[in-house]
Amino acid sequence: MANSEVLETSGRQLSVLHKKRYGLSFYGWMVIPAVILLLAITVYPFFWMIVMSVFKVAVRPGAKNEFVGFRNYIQLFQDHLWVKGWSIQAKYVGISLTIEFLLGFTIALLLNNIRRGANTLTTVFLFPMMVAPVAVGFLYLYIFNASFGWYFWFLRTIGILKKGSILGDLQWALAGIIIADIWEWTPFMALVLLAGLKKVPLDQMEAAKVDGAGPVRRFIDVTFPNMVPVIVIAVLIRFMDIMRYIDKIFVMTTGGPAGATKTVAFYLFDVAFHFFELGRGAAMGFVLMLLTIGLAIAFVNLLKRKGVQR
Amino acid sequence: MPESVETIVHERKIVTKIIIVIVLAVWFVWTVTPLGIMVLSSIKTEREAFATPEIGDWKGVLNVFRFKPTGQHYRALLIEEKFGTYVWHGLTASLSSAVIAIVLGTLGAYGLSRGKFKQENNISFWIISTRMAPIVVVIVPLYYIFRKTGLLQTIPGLITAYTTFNLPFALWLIKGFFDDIPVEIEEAAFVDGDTHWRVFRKIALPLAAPGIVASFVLCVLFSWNDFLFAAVIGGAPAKTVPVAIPELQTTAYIRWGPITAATVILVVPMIFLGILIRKYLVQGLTMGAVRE
Repeated sequence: MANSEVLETSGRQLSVLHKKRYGLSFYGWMVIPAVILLLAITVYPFFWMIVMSVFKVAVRPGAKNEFVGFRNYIQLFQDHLWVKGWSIQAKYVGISLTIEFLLGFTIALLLNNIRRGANTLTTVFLFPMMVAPVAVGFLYLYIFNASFGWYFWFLRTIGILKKGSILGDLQWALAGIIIADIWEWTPFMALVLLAGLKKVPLDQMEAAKVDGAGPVRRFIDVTFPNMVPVIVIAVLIRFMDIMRYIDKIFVMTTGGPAGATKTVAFYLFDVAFHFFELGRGAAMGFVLMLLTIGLAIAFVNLLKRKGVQR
Repeated sequence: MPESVETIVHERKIVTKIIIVIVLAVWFVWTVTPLGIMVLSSIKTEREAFATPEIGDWKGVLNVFRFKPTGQHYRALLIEEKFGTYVWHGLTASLSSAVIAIVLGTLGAYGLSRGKFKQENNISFWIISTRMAPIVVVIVPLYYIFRKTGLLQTIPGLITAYTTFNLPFALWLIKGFFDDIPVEIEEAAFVDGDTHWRVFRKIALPLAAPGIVASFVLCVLFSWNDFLFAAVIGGAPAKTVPVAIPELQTTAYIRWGPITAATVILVVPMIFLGILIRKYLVQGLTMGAVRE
């Protein structure tokens, strides 16, 4: 024991020495470059976003911006496309997440139950996650095509789709995007939940078996409670990423038909880079950001409290 | 009658097994089909690629495999469309950004992992929230700042934009890898009279190396796949593959041949990278929160 004390002081003494000589501990100097760069490329823009949000930013660079106070924010409440965008976003996020979670959990459970081939299968299942979102958009644009798309052919053949096209239909367009999202990201859920399943304590499982609990009982009493932290993380990360990207919508429908797939995130992009109302875009961005930051807080707290898997 | 109970259990096991195999097989087909169709279409003429059977004609499915391979779309892409330039832009931007993120990230991560800071919680929160912010939100002020400073439509501008998400990601993920190394090993080296830098170089860095490499690969993957930053900030002079593909469609006609070929160019290398870092994928995609 005395030995370890000696070791500790020697390391700490070195740090103190370093601090005296260079003004900051060695570790402090290590962090400085990253922190400065991060300040410049994240905090500085964030500050600008807030400033921009109370201005009518000129379209032409160099022209004078006009101060408008909170008008950009007040306008948001009167903007029916913004309000409608939230309901579309909620539908998109809610349906995708639910299906991805349920499917992902099923796949994870099944993969956890086979011995041969599980490794090869998981490797193949991870392919869609590596595919660029733009490419996912084009893959599905291609197979949903109403004259030669294979999925279109399949849906018509088994009779789910009666007529018309998939992405040109008011009801089906969002479903089309959700299908693409499910294809791309269910593997993420499956992979993360599978990692969680592997961590379920075997002794608890054995104990439940000895007590005569069937597979369903064991799932409810042992597997699920042990999985809760992993589930929360998987769902949260998926939620944030789904809010993060609009690439698929851009490629597949550009918000159409008739605005049926215009989520808030996509609407923001439209306002900022199509109509070039950067001030309004910044106000929208700030609102969207607050929501994400709120969730990030929840996420960090969760990690701290549970110390998940660490 | 012990035997019959056993056969029932045995039969139930077989039935479960069959169900598992069927579901996984369906999932396999669902995962692979879109990619397969894309790859096959990229080496077909458009006439062959569009030869979907009539509605209800199941036998016609075999048409997929009836074609003579052609490299015409790839040739068109590389010669007429100058896709080589876009690949080059994408590689330069994503590799440079990944290098910056990994170098600064590794140093910072080690400092954060070993040092004691008063603001540690706030720093962690800041890093994570940066990584989670929606791209559409980040891009608005960045566009404005870049327009004023002349970084708009340049490769350095694009590299900076990618670093906004790569650096916090690398910093956080690599910190996790350093946290895993027992401090005792490093303490022992201090006793032997090594300096901080030597301990970092000779002990911590080699032990964390596999994780750092995985983080590098993930940084490359995120930036290579990015569309929004490249479209808004990169513009024409720094056009990357994801931006070039949508431009292959005009209002009159979508050039599906070249589009499928370009998608293959965009996707296949990334799938290989993904397999390469398979072991670290779950950890990487959950910001280190879940491990395999």
